[in-house]
This record gives sequence, structure tokens and C-alpha cells, in this order.
Amino acid sequence: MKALLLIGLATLCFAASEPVVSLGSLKTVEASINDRIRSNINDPYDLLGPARGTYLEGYGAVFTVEMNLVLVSPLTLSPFKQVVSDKEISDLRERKAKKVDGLKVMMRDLMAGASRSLPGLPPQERIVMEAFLFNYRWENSRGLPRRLVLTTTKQQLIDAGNRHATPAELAALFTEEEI
Amino acid sequence: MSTCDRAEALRDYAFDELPAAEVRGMEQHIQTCEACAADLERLQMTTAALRSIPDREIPQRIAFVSDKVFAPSAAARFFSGFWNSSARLGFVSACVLGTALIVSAYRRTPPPAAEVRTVVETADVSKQVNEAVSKAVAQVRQEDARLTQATLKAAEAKHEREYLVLSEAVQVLQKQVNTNTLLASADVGPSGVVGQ
Repeated sequence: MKALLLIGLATLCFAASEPVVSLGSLKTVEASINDRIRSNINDPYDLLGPARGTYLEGYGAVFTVEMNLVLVSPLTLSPFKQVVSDKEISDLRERKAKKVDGLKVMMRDLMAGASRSLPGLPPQERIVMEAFLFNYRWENSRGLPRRLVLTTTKQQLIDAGNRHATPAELAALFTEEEI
Repeated sequence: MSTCDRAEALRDYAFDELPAAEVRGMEQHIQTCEACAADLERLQMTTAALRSIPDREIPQRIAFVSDKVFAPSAAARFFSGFWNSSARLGFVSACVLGTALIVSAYRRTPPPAAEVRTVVETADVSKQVNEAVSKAVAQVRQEDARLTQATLKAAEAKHEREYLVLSEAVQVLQKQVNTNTLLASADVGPSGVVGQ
């Protein structure tokens, strides 16, 4: 009888601690983020840290990813090649600056998709995506963001999807932070 | 004055201006003429009196002794008194001599023997040379140490930069490998089925 009671209590406890956003749904979003980042063939991003998603109860789902805006060989500057020309450095900086806006568009799109892939997430809670942008020491990273944080609520994204919002309308729903 | 007609010749005789041929005749005349003898005596007395008076120049200016022009100045009076007093002169001379002796004794340095001085000078020169050489060597060593330190510092800084660059490159490579491995394993799945 006691054993049955204990089993019943344990079942209740586990049922109570079951997260509203399942690990599987988080992994689905992570995979979509990773695939999307790696799918840019013409001017690929360099994915250095795959997407990680977590759910913060009462706050929302947060996804982080570490990447380099431009795929640069780690041995661009090494003991075997000790000088990077000023032109190379300025060209690289220009390419990165141009890709920041493209990354934002991609992140908004990914988050809109995430709103549909996270059925357990309460509509009023947030979906946050943070990209850590890597720069080498020898680069000229002045003026370039090191972190890009986009925040919105699931409900806003669902509404925007329902009314087939334009990219500009979609952009207006996000709070953007460049750090 | 004699009324004798030889009075003029008598005057020449008295002043030794009579020609020698007439002197004998004049002497005989004087012995016989009392007037000429008296005149001769007067002339000889006058001549003797004149010769006893010293020759003096005629004064250019006549003035009184009390005139201020003749009053000597204070310095002139001092020096006049000084030079006219043998006691003062002697005392001052003694003072000057004594002062000279004292100054001479005070300033006099005993001349060292030539040989000793040579040895001392040689020792001084040798000491100075040694000091100069030591100073130069110390400076060179200090400069060497500074250069070595600077070179070492520059090399260390370069090494540090290279290390950081290489370390960063290795970290990025490692991240890329980890990411690719992770994503590849996720693609394959635990059961080995691609796309799971």
C-alpha cells in the first residue's frame, strides 16, 4: 500500500515538473537555426558554437548561437603568415558590416518559425535569440556589434504570421540590441 | 769820482780788463796818484761786496705768504709732514717691512721634493684613468643591459602577440571541429540513421 502511495506521489511530482516547452521542440528550433546559418553557400557564416535553446519559466525561450559573420581561416594570421594587409582588414570589416542587417533578417525569420515550433510556450512569453559575433584580435572590429539580441513575444509573431506581415512590419515587432 | 784823466783805464784795471802792456804803467800811476789809488780801493770794495751776494732770479710774481694760493692742501700737508718727519718715515717703513714678512711667511708653501711629487702625480693620473675606465665600462654595461632589456621586452611582446594569435586560431579551430562533430552526430543520430 505504501509503495503504491509513493509511486503515485512520484508520478505527480514528475508530472508537475514537466516543462511546458519540451526539449524536443527546443532541439527542433536549434537544428533549424544551425541549418539556416550553414546554408548560406555564397557567403557563408562561420558557425563556431551551435545553437543552444533553453526555456526560462515565466520569461520565455532563449536561443544563443556563436558565429563569425564571415568564414575566415583561423590561420589567416599565424607564425607562417605574420602580416595581414590593411586592405584585407578593411575589406573584411566592410563585408561584416554589410552582413549584420542580413543576419538580423535571418534571425527574425528564424524566430517567426520558432513561434510555430514551440507549441508549449505560452503566447505572452518571449522568444529571444542572441548571436555572439566573433572577431579575431587582428581585425578592425570598431563599430561592429559583438552581440546581437532580438526579443519579441510569441503572440506577436503568431499574429504577424497570420496576417502575412511584410519584413518591415515584422521588424517593427522586435526589440533589437547591439552590444 | 776821480778827476784824473786815467779814470777810465783805472776802472778797466780794477775789473782786470786792461791790456797787459798798460798794466805796469797803471800800477806806477796808482802809486803816484792818490785820487786813482782811492778810487781803486772803492772799486775793489764794491766788487768784493757784489761777489759776496748770491745770484738770484728775478721773481715772476710777487705775492704775500698769507695768499690762499700758497696754502698747501691737506694731503700735501700730510705728506709734507710725513716726509719731513724721519720718525714717521721710519715707523711706516718698519710696518711695511713687517707686513711683507708676515704675508710672505703665511703664503709660503714648502716645496715638496720633485721625486715625491712625480710619484704622487703618477698615482693621481693612474687613479683618474682607472676611474674613467671604470666609469666608461659601467656606462657600457648599463647601456648593454638596457638594450638587452629592451630587446627582451620586445621579443616577449612579439612572442605574446604570436601566442595570442595562435591560441585564438587554435580555439577557433577547436570550436569549428566541435561544432561540425556535434552537428554531424546530430544529423546521423544515435542509431546511425542520417537525418534522425
